[in-house]
Amino acid sequence: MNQSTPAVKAEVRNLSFFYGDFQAVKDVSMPVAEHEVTALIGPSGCGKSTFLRCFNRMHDLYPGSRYQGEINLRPDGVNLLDRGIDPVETRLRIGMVFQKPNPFPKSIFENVAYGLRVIGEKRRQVLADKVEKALRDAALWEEVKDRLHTLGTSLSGGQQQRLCIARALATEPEILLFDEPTSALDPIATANIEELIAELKSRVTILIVTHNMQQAGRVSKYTAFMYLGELVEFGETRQMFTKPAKEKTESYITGRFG
Amino acid sequence: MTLPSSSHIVKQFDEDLAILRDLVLRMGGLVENQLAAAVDALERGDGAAAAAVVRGDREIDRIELESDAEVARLLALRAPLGIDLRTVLTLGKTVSDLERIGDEAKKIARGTRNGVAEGRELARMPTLAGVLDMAVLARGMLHDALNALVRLDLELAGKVAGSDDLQDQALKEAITQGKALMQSRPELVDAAFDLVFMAKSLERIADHAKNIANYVHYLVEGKDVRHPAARRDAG
Repeated sequence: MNQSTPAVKAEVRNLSFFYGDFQAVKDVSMPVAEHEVTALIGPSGCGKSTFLRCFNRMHDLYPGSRYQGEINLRPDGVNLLDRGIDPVETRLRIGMVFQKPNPFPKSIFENVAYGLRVIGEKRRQVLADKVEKALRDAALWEEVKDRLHTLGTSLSGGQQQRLCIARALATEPEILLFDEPTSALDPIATANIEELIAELKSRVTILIVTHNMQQAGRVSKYTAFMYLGELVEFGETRQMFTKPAKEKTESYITGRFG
Repeated sequence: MTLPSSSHIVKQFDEDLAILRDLVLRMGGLVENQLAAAVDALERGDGAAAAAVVRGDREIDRIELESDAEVARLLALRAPLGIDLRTVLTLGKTVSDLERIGDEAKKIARGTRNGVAEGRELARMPTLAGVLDMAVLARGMLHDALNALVRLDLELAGKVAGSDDLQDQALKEAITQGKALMQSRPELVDAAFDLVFMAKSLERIADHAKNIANYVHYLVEGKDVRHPAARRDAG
């Protein structure tokens, strides 16, 4: 690495996750660099999405799930997996964008204002300002500013995904989780999202799950390769995609298994 | 060339890589033959054999075009990563060096052909022995570089790179001897020049063989061992 080591936004320590008796994530430890994009790759079922969802406690919604280890958020040192932490509060700090755009059946404005209302924001001007800022940050403002009160679901697929990004950005999260955010989009909409991710990282730390190796290579500075619930290799993307350290990684990225 | 033991899920990818690999190895064999034939024609003063080498270069150029197209196709369609990326880049660069070696062999052969046609007896020149020694070294380096590439043999690759200094030294001596001969026997100036140019070609061939040997490090270890000074500047 030429530059000095980047600041760490979150430190994952010995993280394991269980769906009942099934262990989906096995003793994973890795840093998440602040204001950088970290990609999670691996074949279907390797645990990468499960790992991602530990960050915003999505698994709490399902009975029988269990976490072990910790995700230590900097700078305050909060363990996101601590039982005493309110998952709703966590989700405001750790935003998430899913594979398929999933706007609420509400207006564009209300989609973005949703999280702000959850935390009790009622002042109209504050809401209006924050919604505009989030839409601008998601590169959607110019396209929707004249129709903020039409349904979010009336937008195109790529616009809907940017709306979901704006919705996540509105509460000014520290980390944004992307779970295959472009797999349902066409190449142009995909390029727009990738461009947006590159711009957003100056404001927010990003973790992205992707099945598209080239996308991982394009957008991320660091890559984690998971297989059968374990972290096989973690390192700089550039190194990993040209000369990975582990044979398993090499076989996966070159399309020899998976 | 040894690749990871298992094959690609997309079998056509394996076949594409095999096509490129075969092209490069075929080109390597042809270039070795061209160089051997050029040196042999020089040693025997055989103008007809030299002319055949000059004509033979066209096939090398043709393979270069074919493999460059294959490299472009592989990069565009397969977007290779890891060992596949390193393989495609290494083979693509090797092709360029092989084509240059072919050109240098052609230059040597053209020197012989024209010398014979114009009555210069290069095969009887007192400075020929030094040039033939350089040819032995150049051929050995090319052979070893190609073997190192096929076997992914870093030790052999290192040996090739180490031999390059010997060739540089030999060129200096060939130039010194050539100048001395021109001064003492002015009637041999043209022939002495021919041999100095051939020595220069053999020195270039050694450089290209060294390049190929250096690519083996990139292929195996992902390390670029060329241009150490420039890499230091880049930090």
